[in-house]
Amino acid sequence: MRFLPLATLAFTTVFIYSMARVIERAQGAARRCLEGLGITICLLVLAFFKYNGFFLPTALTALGISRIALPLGISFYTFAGVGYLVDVARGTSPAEKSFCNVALFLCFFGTITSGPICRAGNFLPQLHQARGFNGDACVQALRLALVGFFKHVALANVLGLYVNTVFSTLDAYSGLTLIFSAAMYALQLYFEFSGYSDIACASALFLGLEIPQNFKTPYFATNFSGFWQRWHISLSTWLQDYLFTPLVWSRWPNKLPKLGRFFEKPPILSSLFLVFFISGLWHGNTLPYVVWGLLQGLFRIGEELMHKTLGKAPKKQSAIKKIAKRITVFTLWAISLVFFRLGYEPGGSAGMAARSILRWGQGLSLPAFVGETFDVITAGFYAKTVMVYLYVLYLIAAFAIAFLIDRYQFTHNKDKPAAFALARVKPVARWAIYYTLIAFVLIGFVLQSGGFGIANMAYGGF
Amino acid sequence: MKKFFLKLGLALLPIVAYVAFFIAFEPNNYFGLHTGANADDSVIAKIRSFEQDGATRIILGDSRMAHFDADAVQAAAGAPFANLAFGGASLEESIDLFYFAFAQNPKLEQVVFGFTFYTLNTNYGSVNRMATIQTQLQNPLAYIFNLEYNINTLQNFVYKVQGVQTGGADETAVWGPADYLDSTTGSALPYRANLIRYAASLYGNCAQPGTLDGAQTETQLAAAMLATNASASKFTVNEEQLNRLLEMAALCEREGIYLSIVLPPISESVRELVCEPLGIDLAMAPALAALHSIQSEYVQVLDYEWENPPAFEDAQFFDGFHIDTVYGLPAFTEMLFNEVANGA
Repeated sequence: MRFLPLATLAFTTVFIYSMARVIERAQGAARRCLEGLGITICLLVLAFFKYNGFFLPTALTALGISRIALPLGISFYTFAGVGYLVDVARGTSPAEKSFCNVALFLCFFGTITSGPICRAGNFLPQLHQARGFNGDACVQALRLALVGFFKHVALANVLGLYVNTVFSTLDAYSGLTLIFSAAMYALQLYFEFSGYSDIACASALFLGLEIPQNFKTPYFATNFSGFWQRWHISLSTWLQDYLFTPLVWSRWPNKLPKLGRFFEKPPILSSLFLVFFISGLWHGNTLPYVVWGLLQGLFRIGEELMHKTLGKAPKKQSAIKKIAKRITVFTLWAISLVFFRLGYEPGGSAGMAARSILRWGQGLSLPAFVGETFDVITAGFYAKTVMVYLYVLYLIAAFAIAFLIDRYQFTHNKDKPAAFALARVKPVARWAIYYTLIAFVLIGFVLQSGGFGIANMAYGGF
Repeated sequence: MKKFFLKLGLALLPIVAYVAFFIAFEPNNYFGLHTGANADDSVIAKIRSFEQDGATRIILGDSRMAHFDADAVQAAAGAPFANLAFGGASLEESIDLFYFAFAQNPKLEQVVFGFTFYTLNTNYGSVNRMATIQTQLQNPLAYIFNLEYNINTLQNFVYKVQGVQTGGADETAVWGPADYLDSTTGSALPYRANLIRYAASLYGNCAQPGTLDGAQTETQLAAAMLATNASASKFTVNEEQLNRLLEMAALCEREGIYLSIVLPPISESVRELVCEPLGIDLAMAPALAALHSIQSEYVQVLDYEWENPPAFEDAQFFDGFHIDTVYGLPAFTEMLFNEVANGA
């Protein structure tokens, strides 16, 4: 059992490499059959590891196995592999001749654990290009890594100390604390995941490779359509290209006996709903994740229906209207994340999440909130009062910097990380920014005692 | 490439400066670069020193075993001991520390292991810190980035700048007749006021909640404790840790390590206000019998808690559990380590 994760990775790599070569040589129906077979086997392997505890508990117990651990990165290399097989079958990407290149594409250390999910058409050609040391690219990579570490270590992980404490004992808090902790979790998740993605992109760039950007200031989105174009972009576009689009064009409701006529043609909204449902189910086979996925589907469909009935909003809108829309999107997203967060909280359930959200209106007292926040911090991780004040001040400062970074990217550097813009700053100011970020990373590390013995990442284990 | 490494070096400067500052002023001499640790009471400092010196004789236990003067121990026992006992150590942590020390130095010759009825209580409820401590000992980054050690380092730096001498605070005091008066009413007390308060504090882990409710003054607390009976007790022997202690003794026997299991003396106030009313003396009897039954050439049990007559007076106790470091500890050190030396 110890070598099962490695064996799975080896099998998947060999299988995808061989299958792509076979698919490329096949034509017509045979190609489509082979494509379907390849995708099915990849997804069966993934489903076995992700859902064995759900479907096979009795069989596993009989074999004396309590649970089979999820191989590291299985979702991400499976998604990358499936995308590659589909691209080869569609003829948009040639089958790679070098096994090493395919193995590197699937197992690249920077992306294997939590993405971004690379596309063969973008990644594999880069491996054929001659690469040498590029000082400027390496400096850009360091800038990106520094901002990534700032977001991940100095902000998200430190914020996580508070969020984890509240979410482990949700029943103990009043409405304002529950609202605040939900908002803080939404921010923690974003800064952690986008920081991680920046570090992944930086490690690739350091080696002369470009991998897709995974986040583009999602909390500046004024609607869910825009949000999903900016949040976990590599997964959103993967779902769009390899699940949503084929679903729409397959006109799948037509194949449903009797029920098919109730669906719209082409089935855009129903496919959208299905994609979000599958996305929730992929994150976890428990009800909280499914509810999270369904909520995303409802938000998107609700938005589409609003556009249909009320018409699309004009491109130029007042600042207040935009801010109100951003707050609405963020609030709905934060509500759905309560389910997501309780999906991996031990003992967490959809019922707990719903009860917690229903209590948001109870006990909206500022003094109670301040008292509870103080208690959470002292009971959870810092015993001394002075540390509570330092923790709060530190987080306010870190948030201010993170907001400025995102704000700059949103207004000036939309399609590139804000870190790249540092090259244009005057040297003295630039180094002042570097040292400020490094200081925050160091202090952040110390505030969480290096992260030793602290719970897992907010976005991990998928 | 040269330009890149120059920039990288510049960027790493704050990290290098931070690590250098930490190493220069960390109080536990973790890296063995100082002449001695500033925080002698820290478990990290003690274990690091043990690892560096390769000591073969060790002392384990909680704060009652932590305050021995090293020279006095050597004079009484005829050999030096590395004192790995630390304040607040639970029985589980002390046993874990024994196995850690044994793994570090399989040539251990002698172990003095202290525990008490209080740490053998199932309700002691302490968190086991040994896993964290071991991680910090094995991984310098876990030590360097630890918040508590960073605060200690800053404090140590401030002390150095101010020229303040640091060291373990002595637990000593001279007690007079005024200390035997109720601090609220001024009436005479059957025990010293601080000993009554200390005994009352032990009720948290040993008695049912609310046992002393309503008692505020020392007079009321003493009366309430004396009026308590065993039905209010929640003391139970932690069988798991007792068995681990017996297994540890068996290991010492097999490996030829001299083991002295020590139950340090307790104040009469603890015996009469806590142990007897709550029936802890009776509950402890089977555990003590089990310990005595394993005595052998290599294992001795030195019980000053229950068996010995109260050799120490109230004035020699700083509080109910801790012997005064000036007026009681020297005598206890000599008594204990003479017996330890005779047993080996």
